[in-house]
Amino acid sequence: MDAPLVAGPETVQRAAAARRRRPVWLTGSFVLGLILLFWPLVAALTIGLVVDPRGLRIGAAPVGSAPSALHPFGSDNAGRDLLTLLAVGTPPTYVIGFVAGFLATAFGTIIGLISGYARGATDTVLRGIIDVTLGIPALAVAIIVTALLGSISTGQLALIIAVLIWAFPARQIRSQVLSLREQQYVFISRLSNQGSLSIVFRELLPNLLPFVMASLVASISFAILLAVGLQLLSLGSSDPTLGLVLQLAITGGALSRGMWWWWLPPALVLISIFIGLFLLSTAVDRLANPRLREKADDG
Amino acid sequence: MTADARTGMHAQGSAGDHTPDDLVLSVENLAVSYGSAAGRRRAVDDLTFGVRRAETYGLVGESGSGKSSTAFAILGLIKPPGRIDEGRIRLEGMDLVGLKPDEWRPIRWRRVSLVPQGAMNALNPVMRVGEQIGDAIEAHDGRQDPAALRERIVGLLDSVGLPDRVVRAYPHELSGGMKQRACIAMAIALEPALIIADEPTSALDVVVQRAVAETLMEVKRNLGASVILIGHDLALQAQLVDRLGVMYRGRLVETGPSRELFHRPQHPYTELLIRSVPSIRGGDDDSLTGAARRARELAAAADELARTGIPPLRLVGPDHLVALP
Repeated sequence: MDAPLVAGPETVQRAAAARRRRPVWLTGSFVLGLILLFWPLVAALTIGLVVDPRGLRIGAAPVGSAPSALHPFGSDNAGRDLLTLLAVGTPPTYVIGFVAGFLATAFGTIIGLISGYARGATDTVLRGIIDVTLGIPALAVAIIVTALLGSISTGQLALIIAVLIWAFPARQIRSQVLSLREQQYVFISRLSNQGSLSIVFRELLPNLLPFVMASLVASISFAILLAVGLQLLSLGSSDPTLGLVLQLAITGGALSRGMWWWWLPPALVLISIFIGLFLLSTAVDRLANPRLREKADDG
Repeated sequence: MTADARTGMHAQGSAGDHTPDDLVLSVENLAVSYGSAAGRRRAVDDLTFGVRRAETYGLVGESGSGKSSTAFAILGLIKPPGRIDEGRIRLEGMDLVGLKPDEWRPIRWRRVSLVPQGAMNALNPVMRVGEQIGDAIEAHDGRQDPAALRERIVGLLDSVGLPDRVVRAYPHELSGGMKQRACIAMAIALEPALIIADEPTSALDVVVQRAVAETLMEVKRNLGASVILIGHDLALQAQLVDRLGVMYRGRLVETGPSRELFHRPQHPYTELLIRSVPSIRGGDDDSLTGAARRARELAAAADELARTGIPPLRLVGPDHLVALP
């Protein structure tokens, strides 16, 4: 009752001061994106510390039971405890997504920068490779490769995915470089004898950071999607991952049998990861754009 | 014909005390052409002029008259499908035509630099102004001690009238005039003998134009450098340049001391070009119809030149050459 209805001048000033101290890129969508992206990982790692790994064994719980006090996420039709399965299966999904996404973006960015800046014969060759790689349907090749290799580790799966998806960031970065390299400041740098490497990495790359970040986020999403897709087909990594849980749920007929506790939690976790990645990609634009960054770093 | 006469440095009258050694730049019979599916087209044709030490030489002409191609040829920037067909360009006695890319290294920026057209895009938006000037210095002088480098950059900015804080500023934090000043600071970073300013003020408003142009001239005086000022703003040229060259279709129509050219133009095209500049005090006919008439006359004179061709330059006064039969 005593609380003032209207914020007094002091409150307003304090809020303004807080806004000034806060870096500009630290926006709601950045924080929300981070939370949505990483809460499943933090939760899985925390729960992983306390659950009994024997819950993964067949018959550790009553077969196909709905959530209960003893098994809060229920169990699947082989009696595996689903909470344990989620806790163990979530981190490898992140590993695949981040490793494949980082590798593909780093490689693709370097190839795109070289291809776009060098032009000429170098560009023709690199562009040819990029275009051919883009033309290969990633999922189809992934299916064949993983089927041939049989059981592979999470790391190997990440590597295969990176090889299949690097061309997307490469193509994106290349087209940005083609337009950026004609900017007058690049012309001036060339004129003042700066080396190509210095121009590409000091002048061009910082301008491309928003695109690199967006590519990274897209690559991570795509890598996770591809990994989940492969596992739905019983291919790829044999380590338990979110994809494996979904595969078990589908083959076990969870949808038709109304066992929502089996498929819904891994689906929600994946949705949360994807939305988190999307929000982050919009927020990193501010990080890379000095016009928005303003004086965040000079105080 | 001696090189002396061809570059317009005829040892005659008031120009008598100038020897060819005074020439920082001499361009002789330069021809530049660009190829296309329809054949090659000359952008610069039989162009001969010279720039003396500490002199400001103005190059004026319509769009497409070959001003920028001349500047690019001097900077060694004519790339296929363009090429230098013939002629010589000598900078401080050194032949520039046909140099290999690494032979340009010690020349560009250290001996001839450029103040670009439209400073709006000449600075990298994600790098601090100081870093960009520093990069240009380090590209030539190698790694520098950070404190000394910073001091040098502050000194450069100060010489173009910019405060210290600009070192740490991003381009978007500067006004158009400040950006152009930063570009001038970058152009003089290595104390070149010749600065080519390609319409350096065309993107600025009139008041700022004047201040920036004066800064350029002041910096030039302090350095003892020569300047080639390219532009179509005749009013600005009249105030700044020592000598002026009027170009049309890749050739010089008339060249001479700017005062003389403005007061006693010999070529009808030059005269019309000068008369087409609106005067704030009012000329013989300042109405819109008058301006339109002069524009028509200029176009007619240009057509006439295109039809009859431009004869070789001949001397009509001290330092004053005109392409009249």
